[in-house]
Amino acid sequence: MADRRRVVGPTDGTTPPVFSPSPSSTSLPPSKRVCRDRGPQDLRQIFLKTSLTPPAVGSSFLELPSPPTYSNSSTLKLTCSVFGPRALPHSAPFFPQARLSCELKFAPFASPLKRRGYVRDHTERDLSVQLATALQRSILLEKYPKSGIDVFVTVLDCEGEAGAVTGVSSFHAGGGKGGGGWGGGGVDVGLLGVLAGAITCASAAIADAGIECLDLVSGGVSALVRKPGGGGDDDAMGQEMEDELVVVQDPSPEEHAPGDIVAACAVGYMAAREELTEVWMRGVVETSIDTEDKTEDNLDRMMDGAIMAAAQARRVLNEGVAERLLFAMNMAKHEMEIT
Amino acid sequence: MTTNITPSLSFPPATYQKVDPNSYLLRHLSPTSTSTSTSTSNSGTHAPTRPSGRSADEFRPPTIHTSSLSHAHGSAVVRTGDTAVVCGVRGEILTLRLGEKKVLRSGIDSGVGSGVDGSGALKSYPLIVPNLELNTGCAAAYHPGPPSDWAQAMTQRIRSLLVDVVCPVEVNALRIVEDGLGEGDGEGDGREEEKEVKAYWVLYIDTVMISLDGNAFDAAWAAIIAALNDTKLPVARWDPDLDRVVCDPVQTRSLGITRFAFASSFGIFTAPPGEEAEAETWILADLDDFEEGVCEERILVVLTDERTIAKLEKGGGQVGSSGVGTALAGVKHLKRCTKMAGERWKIWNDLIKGKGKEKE
Amino acid sequence: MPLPTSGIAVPGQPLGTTAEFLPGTGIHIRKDGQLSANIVGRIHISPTTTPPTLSLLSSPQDTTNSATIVNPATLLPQVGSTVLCRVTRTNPRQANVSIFALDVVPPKGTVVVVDGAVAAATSTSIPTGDTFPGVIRVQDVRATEKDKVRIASSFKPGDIVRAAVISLGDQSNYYLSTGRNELGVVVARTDSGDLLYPKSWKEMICSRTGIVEERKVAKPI
Repeated sequence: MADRRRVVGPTDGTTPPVFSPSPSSTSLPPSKRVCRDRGPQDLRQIFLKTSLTPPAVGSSFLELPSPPTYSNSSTLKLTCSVFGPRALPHSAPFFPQARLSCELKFAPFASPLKRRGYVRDHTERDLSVQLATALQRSILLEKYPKSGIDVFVTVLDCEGEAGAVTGVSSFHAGGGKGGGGWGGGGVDVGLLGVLAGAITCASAAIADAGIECLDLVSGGVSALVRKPGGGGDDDAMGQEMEDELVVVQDPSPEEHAPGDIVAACAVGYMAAREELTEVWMRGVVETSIDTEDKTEDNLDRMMDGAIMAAAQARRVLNEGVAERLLFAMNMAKHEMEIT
Repeated sequence: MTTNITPSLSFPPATYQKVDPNSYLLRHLSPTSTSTSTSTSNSGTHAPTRPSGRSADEFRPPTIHTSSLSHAHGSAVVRTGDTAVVCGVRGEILTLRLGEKKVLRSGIDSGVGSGVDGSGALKSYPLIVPNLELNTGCAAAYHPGPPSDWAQAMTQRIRSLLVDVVCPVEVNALRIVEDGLGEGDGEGDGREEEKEVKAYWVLYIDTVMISLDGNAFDAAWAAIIAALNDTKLPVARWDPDLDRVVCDPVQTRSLGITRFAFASSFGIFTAPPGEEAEAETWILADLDDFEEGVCEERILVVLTDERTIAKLEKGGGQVGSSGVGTALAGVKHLKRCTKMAGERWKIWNDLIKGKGKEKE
Repeated sequence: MPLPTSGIAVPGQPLGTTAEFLPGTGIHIRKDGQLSANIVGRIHISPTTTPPTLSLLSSPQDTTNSATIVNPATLLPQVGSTVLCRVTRTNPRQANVSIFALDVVPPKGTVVVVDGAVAAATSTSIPTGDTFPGVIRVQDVRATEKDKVRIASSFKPGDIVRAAVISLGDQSNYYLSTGRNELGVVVARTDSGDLLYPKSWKEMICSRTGIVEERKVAKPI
């Protein structure tokens, strides 16, 4: 689609660079090429800082480092700015409370392979709506009648294609065993990771703005990963052994072969109130519909994992938002001691 | 709170800034001109200070961080005060169609629109695609949406500087030649051989404004230069069996930027008529957001070294009404601005060269 | 979550019950009587009431009694408060204005703290982050003789007016009134840019040319 307002590339189109296979990657057997070195409950350390965009009422920056593998490192970097409460446009109808609007945008250089355009595509619109859903209930909107609160998130860097390539993130030749016949590509956990990070980052920016909230929402992701049970070997009778499904928290697309991720779930969780504001699940997972059955099934385990990840993220969020006030308090105390 | 002499009720400074921005700035720049002054710290003859605390000639000190993005071939984050911008450079391959392939003779592309050094290819395809994105929530006025006319004009300015005037990227850094590495000439053999250009690298230079407190252009331009300097493209070759361009997964090659140009923007503030006996003017370097709303006249100087001008622009302002004289800037203002821009060029240049040394 | 030793609370943090404290600024009450924080702030317990009042202050200074403004940018015009606005358009029925500053009166015995610095003890004017549209209708310009009011003799575009918010208004405008003596035009200029000084409640005079212009003037204090 020609974007007339921007400088566009050659009319014939360009292709991302294609690499000849590297000697180092072909020497390893397929099962060893990607693996998760950390435990299923070891989360990566989130870096969160607020007030980096002074023109905005509140702002924050979140960075998630790359997993400690030997593949190409990629990190998640998000910046969020919050404006408001400010006057709504004249065309907007009267609201007795504030209107929250969220916009999420990937920078063109954020994804590994495909360069994203400047016009919003369906993935970004989807994520924006999910983000608004996650934050809506946490803000005390009644305190700000007839006004608008705008949250803008820019993704500077992300892991995996995060929805840039339609369909699956890449092809896994092995297919799925016992995957219910879906086989082929797995779940794009990079996209869910972006949502979880955006939720945490936006909450920090809203708290930095001083907008009154019931509680802060933090984001967490978990995935159901097929752990090769017997390495996919058949047992003596020629039947395939069933792979074990493991719940891992904070999954990274670089640590799992795409076909191994059966399902993944991102949540927005208010830790102090112990309430969920947003649940986004992708993939196929079985659950018991029998309400009498209280045993934990895969869905429960996966959601619990995501909630635990979100609770961990909440600790970083608490420190991040309190940091500025703490610094100012120490400075004020220091000044008073001098005088 | 009011006296009989001055009617202005004593507003706190932050409110007074909104009530009368022109007078607010004037009282900072020349505090001895009126009887009441909001800046009580200035007394007597003093170097004029702006509301932000800087003197009129003072630029905000810049910082540059490079190679912070994982998926860009080159990147830079530039901060000048509260203005911050991220620039990412990504290369993609433009494979020439059969009828289009160029024949390379002694480093010059044949074909349509060849410039002196083959720069015709840069413009005709195009091979450099810069864009500046301001609608990221970097400041209150910038909502997501299509770029405003002013943003589009800035992008065109950047494009014309990159492709027509300064040309930091040489086209031979972007060529992909059959059984060659892209260096068209002088790679040691000096043979006047005919090689076929199979493809070009196209550089997508995307600049995203993270935070904006005035003077987007200087920061964005510096970020582009820093990112281009940081760019390392994979070594590419034409594979005749696959009939496509294939890149080496490990080896990279920098663009080899030699020409560093930097921009300096200024504003001219003229005292409003009626408050001053004569129209006093101040040249303010590196305007912030408040000053951009007040100063109507702007000057932009782009230098390729301390004394060579690549671009000089002046616009805005008003011819003064009768009794006050012309309030527009003159040649002496332009010369002063150019001199200050030269000093600023040196600061940027040292900063970028310092970045290059850090990596070695 | 236990109370941190640094004394800073984050939104959602439980701080006590309604039996122990009275809720002050920045606190909300949950259904079970639990007090929780709304904002990021310093925990401040004021013993002046029984039970003591628990508030959250966003100022870093250790003042003993302060009402704090959380963040000037999140202030909205409140019904009953006074605001500063600039006239943008006039027509015979109303004057359209854009509100750019709010007057904040702190509760008795407290001071106003803005952005960490103590401002005046009495009312102080704080600019809002963004401007809000408002309107002064012809029947709200004066308290008496409302039918004799003409907008053209009361306001001109560009004037700075102090007005009171009487209602949230409709979808696009706040409704304002200048029907008190201290409300009305505070700063005005002639067409040539000279300042006008108040002469009476309905006239302003330019010192340089002596021209008298009609406005609804605010009484200087």
